[in-house]
Amino acid sequence: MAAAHPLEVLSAFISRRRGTFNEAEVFHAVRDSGFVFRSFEFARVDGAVLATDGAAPASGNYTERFWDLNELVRMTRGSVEHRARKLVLFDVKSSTSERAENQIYITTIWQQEQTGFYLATCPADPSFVEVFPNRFAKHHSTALDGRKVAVNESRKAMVPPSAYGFLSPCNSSYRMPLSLLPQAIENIRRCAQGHGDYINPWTGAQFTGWKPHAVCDNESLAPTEDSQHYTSFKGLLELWRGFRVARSRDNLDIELELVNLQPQLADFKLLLPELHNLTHRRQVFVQYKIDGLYRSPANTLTKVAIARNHRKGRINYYFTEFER
Amino acid sequence: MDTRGEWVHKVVDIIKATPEPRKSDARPHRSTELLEQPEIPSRLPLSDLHHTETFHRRFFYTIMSRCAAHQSGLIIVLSRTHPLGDFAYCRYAWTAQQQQDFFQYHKVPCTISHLPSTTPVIPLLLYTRKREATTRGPSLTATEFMRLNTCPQVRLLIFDVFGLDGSSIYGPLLVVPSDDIRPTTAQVNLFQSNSNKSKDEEFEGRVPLLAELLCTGLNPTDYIMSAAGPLLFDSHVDPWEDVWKLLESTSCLESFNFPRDSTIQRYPASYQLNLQEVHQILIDQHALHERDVFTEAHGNESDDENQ
Repeated sequence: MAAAHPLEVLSAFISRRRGTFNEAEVFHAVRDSGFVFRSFEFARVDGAVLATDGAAPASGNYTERFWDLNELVRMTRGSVEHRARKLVLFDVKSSTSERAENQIYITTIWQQEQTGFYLATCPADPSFVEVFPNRFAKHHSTALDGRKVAVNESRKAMVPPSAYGFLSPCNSSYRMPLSLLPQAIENIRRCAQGHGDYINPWTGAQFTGWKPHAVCDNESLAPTEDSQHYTSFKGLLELWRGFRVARSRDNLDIELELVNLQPQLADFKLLLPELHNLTHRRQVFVQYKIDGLYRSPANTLTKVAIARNHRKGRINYYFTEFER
Repeated sequence: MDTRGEWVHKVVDIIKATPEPRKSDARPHRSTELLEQPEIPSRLPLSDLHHTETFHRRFFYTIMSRCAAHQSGLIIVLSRTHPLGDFAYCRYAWTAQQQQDFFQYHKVPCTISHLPSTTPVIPLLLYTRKREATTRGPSLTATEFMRLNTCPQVRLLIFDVFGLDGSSIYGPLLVVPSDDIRPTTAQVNLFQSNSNKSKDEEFEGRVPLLAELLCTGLNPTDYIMSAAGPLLFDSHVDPWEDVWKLLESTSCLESFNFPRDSTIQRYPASYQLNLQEVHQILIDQHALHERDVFTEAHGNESDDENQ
């Protein structure tokens, strides 16, 4: 079935994936803050800020922090420590337009119920980021509601986009340079702990009466059980445990890490020491597919699925240039 | 008829004088089409921009070109529904490169996101109509008045006088500081009742003109700027130069008289406010909107839960 326009496939491909670059940039900007966690792909939200009173900053890269938190939640579930934990969830949004009326960021009601705040960037000027507090979070989550709502309000301006620098003036009060984002995250953390209001570090505007919504477990940082990605997430957990055991027990210098450019590049990567370069490690990107057939251990794996049936009679082949 | 036969004799003479009346050439070609094509009425070149947008753009780019020419001053764009205004003016020193970039590419040197939060700015509210105004001034609609009334900060109101007729010339502008406007209680009530009406209800009374809102005893025409009289239709070298001068003096510290011939002293500090306060006002307005949406949504929910 041919596309209506020959470049339609490419244009959808580009505009749907531009947000992943912005997300990677935002997480790169806050990587030194020990309280920021990044979620697994296809989770409800993109990340979380740890705001528990008296918590120590986490160490290591985003992958290690995720696994450590996962293990901690698993071991302390139901205890006093578990209920005292405060995780402020956030999601990274982006818009591909230079016009003020199109710089509206969309979320679903399902996501809005649990998120504490939103980070938004525009490729028109990626050195700025906007922080929007979420006032619509609820403590009792209703059924999965996928209706889309807007995070901010931004209207058409009277002057052309070049007059306002391609960044909507309606969002200007929430905006700050990307380098000030760690400070803003710290402000939000302290606001969640009850030490005063959140104040935007660049514009100085104060959000009186807003306290970010916090949860105590990490289920929003991983795919939900009823989604199609849950099986692969569980499988990856097993792989991670295997590699970790090999690293600590057998002294194998191999490490499993999640890819920072989510979710398009690969499922995970393996880091091995580079032969001639001591400062950089070799990255091997791995594509992970689960095959549902029962096979005996002696099977030579001559019949392995390489494609999947897609809707409208198309076949989705694995491992192409566009599809992972 | 001729009784003496003179006419008949003349005809006979003409006939005798032309033995070969018929020419030997072919008949000359005669066009059967109309000499002139009927005029097909051509469409008027209508701009696809709304009149308000046209005025905002002209004001922005004209004053910015004055700023660029003098290498001093800057206009920043505020949110469209901002209670303070549509634009804000602040002091800014242009470099020669920025000046060149503006004149060549209309590249704006700095926007609101690049300025630090302690920058003092002067808010500007623009008003324009399709209809031209009289000497008693234009009127403010109920929506425009409610926007003006939301915030107690003093700002400069800029009225376009000529309306749609003046969309291609640099017409005079009325610049009125908003503290000169003091509506009476009756006028405020009228504005409020007008803005609360649905589209099917009739308005109660005529909305007051600018002359009825002023409390300084001056006429609206006393606030006029860039009134060039008959020279209006000549090409302008420095259009709206005196408006730029007024904005510059409002962003300074010394007090000045405005209107020029009156004795009313203006203290620039009262017109200036920090960018931080500008942002705060917008955030508070957004929070108010969100709270309305929240109570509306949760009002419905609590009904469901009670049942």
